Amino acid sequence: MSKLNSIDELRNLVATLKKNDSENKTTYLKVALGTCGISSGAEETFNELLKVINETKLENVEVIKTGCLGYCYAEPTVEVNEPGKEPILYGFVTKSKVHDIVYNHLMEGKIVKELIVHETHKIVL
Amino acid sequence: MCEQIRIVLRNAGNINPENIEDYLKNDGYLALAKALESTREEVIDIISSSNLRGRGGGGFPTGLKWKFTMQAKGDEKYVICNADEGDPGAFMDRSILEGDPHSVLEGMTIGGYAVGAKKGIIYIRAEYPLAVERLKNAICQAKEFGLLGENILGTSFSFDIEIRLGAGAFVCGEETALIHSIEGSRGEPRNKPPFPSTSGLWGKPTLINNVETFANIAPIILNGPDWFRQYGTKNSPGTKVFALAGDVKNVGLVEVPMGTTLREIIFDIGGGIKGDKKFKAVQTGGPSGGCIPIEYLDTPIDYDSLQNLGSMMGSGGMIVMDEDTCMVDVAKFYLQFTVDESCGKCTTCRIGNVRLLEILEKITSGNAHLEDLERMISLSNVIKNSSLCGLGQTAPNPVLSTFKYFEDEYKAHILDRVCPAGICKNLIRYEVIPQNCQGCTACARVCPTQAISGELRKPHFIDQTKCIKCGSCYSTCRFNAIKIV
Amino acid sequence: MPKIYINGDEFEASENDTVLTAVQKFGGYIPTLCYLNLKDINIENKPSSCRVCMVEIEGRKSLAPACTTPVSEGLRINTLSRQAVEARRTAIQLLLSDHPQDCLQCPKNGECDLQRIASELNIVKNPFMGKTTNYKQDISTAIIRDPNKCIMCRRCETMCNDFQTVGVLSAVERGFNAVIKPTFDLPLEETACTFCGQCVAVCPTGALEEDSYIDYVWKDLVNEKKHVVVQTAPAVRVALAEEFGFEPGTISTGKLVGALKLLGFDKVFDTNFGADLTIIEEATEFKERLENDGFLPMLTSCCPGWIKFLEHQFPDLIEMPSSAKSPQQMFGAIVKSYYAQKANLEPKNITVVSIMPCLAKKYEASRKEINSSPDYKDVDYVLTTRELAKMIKEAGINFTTVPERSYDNPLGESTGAAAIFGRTGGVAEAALRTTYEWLTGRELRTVEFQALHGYESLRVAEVDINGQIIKIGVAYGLGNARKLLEAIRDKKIDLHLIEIMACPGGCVGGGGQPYHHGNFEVIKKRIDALNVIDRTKIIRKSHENPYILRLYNEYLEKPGSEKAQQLLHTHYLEREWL
Ligand SMILES: Cc1cc2nc3c(=O)[nH]c(=O)nc-3n(C[C@H](O)[C@H](O)[C@H](O)COP(=O)(O)O)c2cc1C
Ligand code: SF4
Ligand code: SF4
Ligand code: SF4
Ligand code: SF4
Ligand code: SF4
Ligand code: FES
Repeated sequence: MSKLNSIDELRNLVATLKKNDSENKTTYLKVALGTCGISSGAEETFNELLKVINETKLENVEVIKTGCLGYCYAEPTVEVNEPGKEPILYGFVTKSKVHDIVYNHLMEGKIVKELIVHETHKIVL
Repeated sequence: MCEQIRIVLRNAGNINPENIEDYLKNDGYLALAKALESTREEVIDIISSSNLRGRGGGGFPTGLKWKFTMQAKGDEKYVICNADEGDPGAFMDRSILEGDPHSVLEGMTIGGYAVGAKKGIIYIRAEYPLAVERLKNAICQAKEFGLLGENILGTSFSFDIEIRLGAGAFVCGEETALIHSIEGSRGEPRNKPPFPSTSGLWGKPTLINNVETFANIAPIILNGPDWFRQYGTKNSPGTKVFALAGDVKNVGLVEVPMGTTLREIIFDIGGGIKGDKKFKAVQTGGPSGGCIPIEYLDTPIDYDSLQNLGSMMGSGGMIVMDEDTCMVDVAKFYLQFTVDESCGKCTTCRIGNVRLLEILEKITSGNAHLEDLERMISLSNVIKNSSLCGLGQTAPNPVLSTFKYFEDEYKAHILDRVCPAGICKNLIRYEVIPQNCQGCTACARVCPTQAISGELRKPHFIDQTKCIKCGSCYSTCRFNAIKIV
Repeated sequence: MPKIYINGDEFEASENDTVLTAVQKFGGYIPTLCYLNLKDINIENKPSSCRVCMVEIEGRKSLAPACTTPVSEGLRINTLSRQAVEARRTAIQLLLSDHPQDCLQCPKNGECDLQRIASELNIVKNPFMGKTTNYKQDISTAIIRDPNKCIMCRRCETMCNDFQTVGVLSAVERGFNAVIKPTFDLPLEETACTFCGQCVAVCPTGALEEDSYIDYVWKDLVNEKKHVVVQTAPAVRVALAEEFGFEPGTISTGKLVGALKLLGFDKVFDTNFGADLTIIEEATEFKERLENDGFLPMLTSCCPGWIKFLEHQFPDLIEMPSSAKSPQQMFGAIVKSYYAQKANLEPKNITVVSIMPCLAKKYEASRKEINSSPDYKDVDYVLTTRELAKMIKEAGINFTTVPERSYDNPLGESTGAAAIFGRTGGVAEAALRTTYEWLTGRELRTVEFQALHGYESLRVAEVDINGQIIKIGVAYGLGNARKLLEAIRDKKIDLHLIEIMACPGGCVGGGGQPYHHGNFEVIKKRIDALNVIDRTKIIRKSHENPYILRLYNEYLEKPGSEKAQQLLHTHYLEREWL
């Protein structure tokens, strides 16, 4: 990336990024990898997700790291963001639960009810 | 049902903190752009009329602080982000830095522009390696994009940010101690005034704000003060992030508008008390704060209401305690923390808090008299009124507040020599209930001091002279045959 | 000019007043313990750590420390508030609760600020007793540290770091265990401490004290076999009387000698004689360096605190000081040689005691290479002015009525030049009086060099000798010495002679003098008194002292002779900065 040399360049860049995003058909699996998540095993969850996604050869699915979402009691957490759908937050997703989520939710479209974390937050921006 | 409102944690958990583009596509750095198109005064006006108050604990109006720093004369000025977060159990700043580092960088850069500083320093705990790494990465990316460094976005404004690792002491979070620590001297506070806004780092005017305060800046600039003030209360607008912990079901970070009640946070968001026990008190503000009893669960919380209750907002620690908690023991726990963390500079804190702790120890060990309570209160007031820095000034809060709301419990320790919650070791005994005892010998086998004797299948007996009150037998017995008296 | 209210009375304070200074100007009183302001030497210790000066300020939730709270328009101060007074009392009780309950055996008894304020605040019982800290004493040749009596006022730290730039003492550890310790927790003896004693001079308690040799001196005084000789430094005679209630600046030479005689010293001699001798040797060396392109500037060497500082901090400049011993050590060497011979005594049967304003002198006397013989010490025991006062009191001597006596001869006669050794600029002036006459061969009419007078801590003066401009630097305080030496090392300043004294105002402000309790005026008055002594002397140039001339005739031959080299000169050691 080269330096942004003016305020307009920044605004243009932001607009482009937003546009690309809205056209994006990728499903994102967000693993909360803050210090709290990591200490509950979120790294393993993250790696397992990568592995299972790779095995299943699912397309348009990307696993990304984020910071803490705040649901510490339910760590590790994984949020499934499918384009055009409300995100679903799963909690207690230890390595062994990864398989369930990928197969049931992503491949068969069935939500894994017992792992859902009741979200109490909304973002006002 | 109450909901969290996320302004500060808007991106945390949503974006990849290691990728600046993720931040940008959520309107990242547009507030900086807007600030750079405005005058310094306009920027400060926005912050002032938003009524944002410092999230580092004291709740000082941020706009005013910015104005003082802007007006202060100095050839050089500094912006410091206080990321020392040393309250036991607090981790909101860490989560912000780990989950959304650019929000802090953007806030600091806007601050630098407003007060006329060219250099920013993030003073962060060395115990936060992940946050440090993500910050370093974010600073690098911001420089690459021309959002930090010389001539930001082609304007004449230049600003750089450097990371300094904390010396590891809680008191180094106090702003003047923090500045001493950066300067390489002993991390201890000094008397104020002068405040850092006129004489801070290297004697230069210095703007020092908390991580969460800075994370609020960009949204306020972008959406305006009126937008911000629609959340929270009149005197404390916006949201506050709390680290909810203790005997509550859903421990974690919550961001709620100011004015949310304790009940909403603990029961709606926190899911209530673990094991469905009874709620006893909630401690806010960490070691500087106090304990709030059930009568005040419906208090809408903000800086002022918490202070009126004898507690503090502090950095946002919130520890829920159930019926099995001994309030004297809680006071002792917090005071022990302050005693360990005192820098030792001033008399009332260095020696006074040790004496206060000794009185509490006397109470919990069943050796106190009623006069000790009088001494406890008068000493607490002197420490509060005479200590040099916030650490000492607030250290007696846990004692004063628990005494205010749970005086009976203190008196029970003194007059009846009992600990009603069954926590204080010297005041409890473990006894076998002969009717329940099956003589299974399980307790005798776990007792580390061989205090339990008895024949197989016959009721056992605990020798009180040998018992060290470790509670092993109590938790081992499967027949509820051991009681605490 | 902010208008403020002190206990209801209106008062016009000045812009940079604190509550404390304003109340003091107003004529009020607030006890202070940690605060120390030595304006004249630009040293201010204001950690606001003791919390003894608390006052109530209307509209504020907490109490405020008077020493560090600035005044502002309309401020309403209540110094008499019961709450504030109780807070002061609690602060003192807390300090005492972690303090040896030891006043009766404490060397500071009667001079201790903590004790005084405890008494002022009517502390007769202490409800806050509890666990105490427990540190070992650290005993060095000059200073005893007893950290158990330390109240963390940080005055010593400020003196050692800011004034002396030695940086040996600093606060370490935290919380209840916070304490002042020397570098790396080493015994003071093993550090770069100069033993200037300025930490001792300001310590409000008995945490820092001189290492006392009183007991040894009593022993020798009653020992028939010992011939006990005493010498008194120039600055002692203008300070000792303070210990007995006299005004600062009182000259008590006659009583000093009288008291020493009553104490049983066999001979009462004068360090001032040694000072005249020092000038002869030093001026000879200076003249030699001037005439033969020697090492310049020449640094004076009579202050052992300064010499030790140089050895640690500027080992590369070790050739600069004059090799002449200090007056104390020259005196000791002469007693154990010349005087022993004259009096027909074995040197080892003579005890030389010196009365000094100084703690570093105790250490100086213990330097191995400074003694003229490996078999005995030239100076056996060094007592401070304060210790002498204690001996006089202990013996039951009424100082006020002590008959005035004069020094014994042959080592008791001295000139005005020797008297001013005790003040800043004095050594340089004394040296100039002699050098001038030696170089020009003309009589010096006006013996006083005004440029070398004064109280400032760093001065440069120029004197025209035979058309040659001699540039002289004068500094007291090792921080100022550092500035001068750095300028010399960086060749930023060009000087011929530099006089350095470690203590404020010179030896009159030495670490062994009666406590000034933060009042620099006391030191100024002692300086003025020394100038009076100088002016009342008929002989005011060292080289005119008849007994000095006789000493050379009878014994040393001539200045700088082999014998003089052996007895009166020394060398210095390169040391580490620890
Ligand atoms: C003992 C003590 C510890 C403190 N620790 C912190 C801290 O860890 N983080 C912080 O932001 N402020 C801390 N503070 C408050 C700071 O002194 C300062 O008020 C704050 O950084 C100002 O920022 P704000 O105006 O944004 O709140 C502490 C204060 C005291 C007395
Ligand atoms: S109150 Fe405690 S932490 Fe603060 S300066 Fe005093 S001793 Fe240090
Ligand atoms: S230091 Fe002062 S208070 Fe302490 S024992 Fe000595 S005289 Fe008493
Ligand atoms: S004697 Fe002087 S150098 Fe030594 S510690 Fe005290 S002030 Fe520092
Ligand atoms: S040693 Fe003396 S001067 Fe130094 S801090 Fe302790 S009490 Fe103060
Ligand atoms: S100035 Fe005098 S009193 Fe001070 S250390 Fe030097 S010789 Fe001693
Ligand atoms: S004299 Fe003011 S705090 Fe010590």
